Amino acid sequence: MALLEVQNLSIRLERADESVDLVRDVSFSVGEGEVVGVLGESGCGKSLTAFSVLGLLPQGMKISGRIAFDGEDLLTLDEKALCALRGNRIGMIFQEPMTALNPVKTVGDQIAEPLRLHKRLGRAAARSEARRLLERIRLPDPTAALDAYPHQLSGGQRQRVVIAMALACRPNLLIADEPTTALDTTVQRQILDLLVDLVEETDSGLLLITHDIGIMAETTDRVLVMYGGAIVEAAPTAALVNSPAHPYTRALLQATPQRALGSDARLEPIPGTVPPPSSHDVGCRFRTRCTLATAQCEKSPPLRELGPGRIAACWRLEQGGGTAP
Amino acid sequence: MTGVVPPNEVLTVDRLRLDYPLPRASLFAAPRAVRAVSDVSFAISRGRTLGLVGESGCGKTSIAKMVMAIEKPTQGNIRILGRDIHRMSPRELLGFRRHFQMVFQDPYGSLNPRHTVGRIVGEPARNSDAETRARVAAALEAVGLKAGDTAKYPHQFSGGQRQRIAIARALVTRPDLVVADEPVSALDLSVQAQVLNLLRDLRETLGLTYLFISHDLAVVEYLCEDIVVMFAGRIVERGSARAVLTAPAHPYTAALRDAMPRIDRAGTRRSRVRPAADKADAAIAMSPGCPYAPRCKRAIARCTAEMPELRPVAPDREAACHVA
Repeated sequence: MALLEVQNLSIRLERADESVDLVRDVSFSVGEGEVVGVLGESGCGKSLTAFSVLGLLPQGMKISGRIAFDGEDLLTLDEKALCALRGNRIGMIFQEPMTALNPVKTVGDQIAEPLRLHKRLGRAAARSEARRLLERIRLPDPTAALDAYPHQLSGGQRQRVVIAMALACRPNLLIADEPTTALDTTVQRQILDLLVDLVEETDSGLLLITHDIGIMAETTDRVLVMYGGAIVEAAPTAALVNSPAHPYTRALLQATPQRALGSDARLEPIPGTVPPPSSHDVGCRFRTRCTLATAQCEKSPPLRELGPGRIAACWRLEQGGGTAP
Repeated sequence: MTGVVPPNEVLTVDRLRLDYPLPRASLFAAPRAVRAVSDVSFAISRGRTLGLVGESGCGKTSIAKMVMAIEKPTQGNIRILGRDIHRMSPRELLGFRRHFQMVFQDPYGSLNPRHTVGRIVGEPARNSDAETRARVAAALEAVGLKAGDTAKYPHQFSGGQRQRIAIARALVTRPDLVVADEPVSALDLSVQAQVLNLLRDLRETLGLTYLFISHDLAVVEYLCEDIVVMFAGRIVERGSARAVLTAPAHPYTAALRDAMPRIDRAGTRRSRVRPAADKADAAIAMSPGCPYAPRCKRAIARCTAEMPELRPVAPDREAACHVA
């Protein structure tokens, strides 16, 4: 049994006049010591999927399906039981290090908080553990950093503090939503290496949400590609990059500047933009931007198995799918 | 470089220095200052694109501000089409601004939500006559929007379309130089490719010259012929973008390139050896030597004692490093 198993997850936004499906029938799992990436443009449902695992969906959203963490269905737990898991056995790293930290509390107090709350550590023990964590994330001068306020640290240092907080209680599962987007390349590299080292050392699972294909390629074992609230392709990372099956995955790869490095090849942008969520559209959501779309795509394609660990949802997989671009 | 500017140079930056004042330590102490930019010189010829790269705080945005005449250099001068923009009268500068325009990073924050697209794009022309309206329409068409979009408001457009509006606004005065500060880093991948191709096409069709600021080396390699790498307010390396990124001469450029996430390393996480982190947080040296020395794996004794000057290290390539 995998550490995290999500089955048929759907998230529906219910308004007075209409309701819209934001995430549709998403199933995946994250095993121990495994890094699973979620790739897609903004508005594809990546972050919502992650928030639903944490029980942090905004008001007015209705969730269905099953989210099993270590065998326990999170959707049946009450808020108190969820609080006992969050920041404890499930750690989370959010996108913006400035808003994820409390500006009026010292770094040491913020890292100590989950330790005091979940592990019942005393003040001194929590502080020394916080210091050890700051050392672990390679913050220069960890003792001084304990008494620093977030504004006294650089962006990269703040993001590392957020990671230290997420790691404080040695979680089994880490959820990271664009953890390095705001950072310089060299700092980004350090943070990614740090996350991967931790996964390997502690055998925890990592669900990594990113729109950066380079990061995804280097860091993950498996990738889920989301479009319009649904998984359109899932595959082991090397297979996904080297022989993408779904036209959307292929289009993303062809739009990546990293792909054009050292050549004069022109980037191939994906025309148009992600369509807004709609409850009326029953077809393939990508068909409006897809060069292979036919009348058949007015109907929603099912996810089909293509090989070990590989699935994709497209009617036209045989017409140029499953091969290297 | 103080002499006559070659006729095809659109932008000439000569020994630029910028100090930001700090508060006095005490009433009687001398005022302190932090040096954001030290001794930076470069030039861009017509139709070429220069990429300015480096980490946050390295001075690249300070240079953009000085080129846009938003910030006044402490020393040195900036010439656009041979004219020193910091020696113009305010009135003269206002008229001259049509020759250089800017595109900002955030297509949400840089467009006034209460102005129509027509007003936003037409603003730099400072006129609303028939000729300006025709120019606005032409600029919108050049960036792939419709002339009929002028009556709409920014919120009616997606992020990529807003960045097109921002580019149209920069084009309306038919500038010679466009300064773009991270113009695609807030955009989704698919849209980023659209905007990068647009910038490339506009360079061809309108003969534009770009100063392109970015932290993304892959984007710089795609768009720029030349590159200037900065660290702690100084140029550490410059040359042709492809040559510099293929075989960096300066250890800092090499560290930047090696830190870039790479698509061709797909699925290598379990087998790849991750090198020990470079000391990216080491304080920037206040010693007389190279500011990169505390982080540098190749530093020798001379590096902390003596500031390396930019010197030729290969044809068409300069680096400021004792060991390069």
